Amino acid sequence: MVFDYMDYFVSMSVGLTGFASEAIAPEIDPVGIKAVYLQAFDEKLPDGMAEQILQRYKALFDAAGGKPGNEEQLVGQMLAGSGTSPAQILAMRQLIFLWYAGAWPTVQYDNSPSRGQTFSSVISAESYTQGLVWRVMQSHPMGSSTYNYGYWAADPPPLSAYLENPV
Amino acid sequence: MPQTFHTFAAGARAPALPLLAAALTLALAACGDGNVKPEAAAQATAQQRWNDGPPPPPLSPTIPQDVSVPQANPDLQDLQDDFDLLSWQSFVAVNWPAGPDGNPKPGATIGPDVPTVWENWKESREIFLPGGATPPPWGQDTPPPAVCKGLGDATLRLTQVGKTPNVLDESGEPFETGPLIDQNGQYVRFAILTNRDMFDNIVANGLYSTAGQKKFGKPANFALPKGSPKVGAIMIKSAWKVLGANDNAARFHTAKALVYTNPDENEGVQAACKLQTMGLVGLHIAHKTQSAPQWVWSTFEHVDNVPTQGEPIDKPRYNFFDKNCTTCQVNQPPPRPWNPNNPHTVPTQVMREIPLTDSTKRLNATYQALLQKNYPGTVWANYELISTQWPTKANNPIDPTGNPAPSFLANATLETYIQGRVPQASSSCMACHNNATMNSQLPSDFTYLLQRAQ
Repeated sequence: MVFDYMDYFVSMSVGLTGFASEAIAPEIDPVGIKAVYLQAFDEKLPDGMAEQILQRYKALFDAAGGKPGNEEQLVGQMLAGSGTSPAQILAMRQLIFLWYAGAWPTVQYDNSPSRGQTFSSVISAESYTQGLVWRVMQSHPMGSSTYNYGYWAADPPPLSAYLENPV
Repeated sequence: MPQTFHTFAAGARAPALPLLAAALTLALAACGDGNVKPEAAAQATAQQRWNDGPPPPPLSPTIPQDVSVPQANPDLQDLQDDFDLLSWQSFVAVNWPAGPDGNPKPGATIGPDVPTVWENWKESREIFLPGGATPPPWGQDTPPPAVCKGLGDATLRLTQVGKTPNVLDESGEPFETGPLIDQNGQYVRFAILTNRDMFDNIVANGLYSTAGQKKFGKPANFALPKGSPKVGAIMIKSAWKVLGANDNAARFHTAKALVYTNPDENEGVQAACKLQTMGLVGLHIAHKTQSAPQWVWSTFEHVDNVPTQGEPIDKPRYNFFDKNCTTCQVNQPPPRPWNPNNPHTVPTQVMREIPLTDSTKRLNATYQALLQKNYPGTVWANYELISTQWPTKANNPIDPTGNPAPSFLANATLETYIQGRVPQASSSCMACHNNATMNSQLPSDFTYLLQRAQ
């Protein structure tokens, strides 16, 4: 069996985003944004980097027992530089941005006090609406709502419903 | 070369994505070469479906109450297949020959081109009467518009020349819509009908009038109580073309209809009425089932309607496409002013933008063969399911649309100009109808019909 990149991509993304697997990659998934993001993750990075990151995650995952539940701890190790280069750490941060904003960020460093700027490009109309930032806000994308007419006059559902994580 | 590793152990929580995981296993085998094409691989896997399971049940006049899911652990494609099967079962049942009481004719079978069960349901015109009057009971006709009087009997009165603008206006987006003109230069006509369960709900709750909706004072709800033996609310939206000299009427389900031009629909248009032979070209079936509070949306078309973008244009003639026209702009509505009384209007050049899946095509072929075998030469074998939209997460607290699958669905005769895959702009039954309200501004349970109340 070949390396199942998607499984590890989703698992690593659970750790990076803090969202449950069912929230970012539902079992019955009519949108399939995870496939779009994995493709973007692969294409936007230098050749082979996405694979290297996923292989590193898999190594840590297997070493930790090969079971879901400690994704955040594993990506924490990687973001702290355990077996990862600065470029790979940046790539993982870019992936966080992608999940939350539906856009791929490019960082341009300079000597300004802020040390540079981040420019981002939205992957697609669908990635824009799928951004996790809207859930954290208990809101919906500007210009795209699936709520019923008049929703603005009612309290939003609890945060746990948006996160699909028990809180 | 890709590395070889084990995947997650079976039963682990995280992956559980058999369809896409399998597809991406294939796609990402080339990941190191920068050649990731998960979408194409997912489609390839999804197409290995339908007819792997048992054959469809026998043709029946009974509309299924709900979808049947026989698979133990269904994936997205399994469920889509199940809903597509529900669509075809429903199509067969509602198009069953009607007896004198409007119910399926005892001893009859689907096949002959005769008035159908759904054509005996209540037209919207018969429910939402001037002044908010109480509609006549089920089974009792409402007189045709005055301009139609004396033109003879008709099985159906077609009063609309475009998908009601209210539907799109209420979404708040500047959707481009308009009438559809066939290759003979004639306007396509539409009618919306409801079944008895829906009609009874409207009448019992007074929702046929603006005053009644105000008095009702809460969102409309067409759900049946759990365990009810009834079939539940069903709406049918139909599209018809005038059968002219260039049409082979034997290929269509036909109806002699009073084709009424409503002067309220387009400015400066005179009321008119003609008794004409019409051919069915499009059919939406929307069914509120127990498992789908967002309704199940099935849409069918005549097989000769339009070619699909990216697929061969191999029919000798289409109802809404001229294969010899090289300058025709595709999927553009005719310029205003719109007047259905014009003797001839430049035909609309229509193509399907989202192709049917191979699985749906196989199911269509299966049912078309069943219908042919049941009644050789039947017109009903000349219709095809485009797709079925259903909620993948019916009770999602943060998304009342229930995460519909497929995300977009359009009938080339009913959503001609809003096909495609652009959120908020392209046709999605649930996303659009989720915005529907009554005249009281309260939600109307996915139907815009209640806005027709006076």
